[in-house]
Amino acid sequence: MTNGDGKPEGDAQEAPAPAEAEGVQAQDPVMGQLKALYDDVASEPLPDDLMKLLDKLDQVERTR
Amino acid sequence: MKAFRDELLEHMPAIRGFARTFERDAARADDLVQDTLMKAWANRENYKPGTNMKAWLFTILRNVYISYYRKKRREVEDTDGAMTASLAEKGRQEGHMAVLKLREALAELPDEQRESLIMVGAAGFSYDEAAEIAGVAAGTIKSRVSRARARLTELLGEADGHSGAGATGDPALIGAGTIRQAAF
Repeated sequence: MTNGDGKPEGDAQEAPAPAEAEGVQAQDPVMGQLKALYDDVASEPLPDDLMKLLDKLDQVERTR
Repeated sequence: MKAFRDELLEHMPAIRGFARTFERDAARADDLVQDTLMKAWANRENYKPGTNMKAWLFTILRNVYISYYRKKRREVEDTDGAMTASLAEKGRQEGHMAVLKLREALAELPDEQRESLIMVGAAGFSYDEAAEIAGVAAGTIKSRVSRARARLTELLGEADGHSGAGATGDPALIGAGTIRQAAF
């Protein structure tokens, strides 16, 4: 169970408040998986159908 | 100042990321994204330039899926077994085992825990931002996230370790949940 290359500072168990949102995924393999699942999609460019939809919305606006 | 459209394009990938993580049926996730885009466009006058558009979009997405699931739940109750089977079928087509297990486990979480976990643990929102989006206190988000994490870890641990009962079909355990698990 490696959870990435351990950050030098911050004890795993007692990591206090400040960067807790970050810490949530940094220290926990399960959270790492979740983040990877999200990033996979969030880093893709928008698919064509969405781009087309936006163009269509935009055009409707302009012709009014 | 950036045009609304450009900013929208910049943040829509995050909306897709959330939707695909929150909703394991890819087609349904895409519907959520599309509806969010249309609603955002229709309501663009309500967006205040310079404020957090990502959070604004997530609020819209949230409204979209809340009304969506309210509708969907009625349909699920109607068709019950058939629906469960078709969901399992769809799940099977996507990705490798680890991802399937994760999706399966995520689907076990109550919606509000799942959304909190994804907002904070994956989409990069602070507890305060997530609280604003969900319309609850930051402390509520914190406790949802920690419960969700614990449950997810537990579920994934179970899947790795003693995978016995559910998969082999212990008759005592047959129910909707077991059927879904057995499909994997």
